[in-house]
Amino acid sequence: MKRFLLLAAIMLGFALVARAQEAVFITNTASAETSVSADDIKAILLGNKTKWTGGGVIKLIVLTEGPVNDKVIRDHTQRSADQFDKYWKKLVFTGKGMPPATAKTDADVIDYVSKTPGAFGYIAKESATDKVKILVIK
Amino acid sequence: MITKRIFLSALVAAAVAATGAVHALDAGGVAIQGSLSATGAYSDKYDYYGATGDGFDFNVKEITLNGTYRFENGIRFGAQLYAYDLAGYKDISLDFATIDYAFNQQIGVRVGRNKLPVGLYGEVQDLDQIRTFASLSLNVYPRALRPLTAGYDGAGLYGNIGMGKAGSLEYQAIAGWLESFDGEALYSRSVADLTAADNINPDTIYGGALVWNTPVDGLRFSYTYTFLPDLEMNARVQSRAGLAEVGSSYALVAASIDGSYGEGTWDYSGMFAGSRAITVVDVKTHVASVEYTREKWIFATEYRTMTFEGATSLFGAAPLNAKDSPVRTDEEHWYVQATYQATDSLGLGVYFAQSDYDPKNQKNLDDKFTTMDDIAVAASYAIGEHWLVKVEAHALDGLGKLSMAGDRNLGATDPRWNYFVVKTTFSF
Repeated sequence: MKRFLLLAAIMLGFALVARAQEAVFITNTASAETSVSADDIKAILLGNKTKWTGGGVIKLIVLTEGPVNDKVIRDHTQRSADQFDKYWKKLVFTGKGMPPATAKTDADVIDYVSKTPGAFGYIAKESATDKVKILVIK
Repeated sequence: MITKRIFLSALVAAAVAATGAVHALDAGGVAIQGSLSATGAYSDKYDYYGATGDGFDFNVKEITLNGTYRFENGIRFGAQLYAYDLAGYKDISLDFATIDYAFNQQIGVRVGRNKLPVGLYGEVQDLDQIRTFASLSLNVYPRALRPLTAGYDGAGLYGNIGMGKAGSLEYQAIAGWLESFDGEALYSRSVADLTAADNINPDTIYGGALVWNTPVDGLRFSYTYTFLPDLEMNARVQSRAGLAEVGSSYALVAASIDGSYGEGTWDYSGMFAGSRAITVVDVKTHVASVEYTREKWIFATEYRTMTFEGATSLFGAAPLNAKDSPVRTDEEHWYVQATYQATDSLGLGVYFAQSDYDPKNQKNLDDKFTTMDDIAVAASYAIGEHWLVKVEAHALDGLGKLSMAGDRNLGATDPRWNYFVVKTTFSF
């Protein structure tokens, strides 16, 4: 019985950690966009896609730390957070990209996205508020 | 020169002041970033990019300041100043100043001074923050060649084409011009022999890059090509003292002529020393590369060939007084490299490189004078978010292009030598 409870507790812990790392992609509430594809997310994060399909410049904001950041960058760019940071330095210092805005917390991302038309960012699912629009992944 | 020093000092002050910022500075929507680096090197035998054979030499200082601004219509403007002191040669260059517009993901255009794609890392040869090594492979990315490999004035098309399950293809196609450089530039000094260059005038440049990001995560193949037609070197035949200084084998010819026709014939008759020599060559560079990134590991290998082919009015290139003699030199280089990010702060790396400056054995020289093997190990440690310290050790075998940066190691015969580098960089 003790073993069963321990196993259940461990599994619950893993589930909570996984949920805490679940991310959503967000944009400004005034945006006409309602969804993005996985290819779009990768292209936006890597600076290859810089305009929304409906027009307007995409203004990317990225987290600089935390498990959500690590998971999003790993899952959608196949890079570590460190490699992603170096990738962007390479773009900026060769004149090939506008450096993304950066934030340390989900609240800072939400604040930026809510005030910036065309913004695109990511946060933990449980941090989302009605100040921003959550994009559906196609 | 004084203006350059003042500007350099101002850049240093600006960079030092700016390193207090936690993130890229934002000045009215202009994102400003930069770095400040100092490098020291020591060799147990030879001078290499500085007076490294006499002891530890702080042979490289670099400052980079970068600004980017994007307009609401998507047009982006980026510019970068790069000031450096490389083995005693100081310059402040406009590294790039680019107006960029992407019509969509598949096609965009850049106009202005742009970075030149050469191999996987040519565009970032000055960017210390993104790699473990203090130096890129010494011979595949020789810093003395920077005037021919860093950037061009002109236009480039670029894009990223998705290919579904086959991955994606990135491309660049470029056309433009390269800046001239003077006889004091490291590359000019490196080719001094019978003649010393007054200036080197590249003309147009064409080229392109293809990168296939394969469906295998982290695996990409790259090919780059650049073509410089009619690169012109204006030079003058050296005096006997100049020949002796660079260790030219023509010192014996000069002595012989003075012996036959009277002392001073070489220097003062007007037939030899001081006479002009113009060499015009086409320069072609091919680089094929593979890079594989897996978790904390990055593996890379590159193969580079470089060909200089054309004609020279130099009498020494053929029997005396022959005009417009054909000239051709070939180079081949390759390396294989692995880096491992052991912790957030500590990166480790190792590479092995081979270079052959006479792959067709046309120079009739012992291989040790035309080849160079290089085994290098490096460690990079991040002290906080903005400060990097690197140490690097090279075990070299060969004397090929030992004078790549104009260093003279007269009488060098021992092909085995070691080279140590320490580098630190602040970035913001």
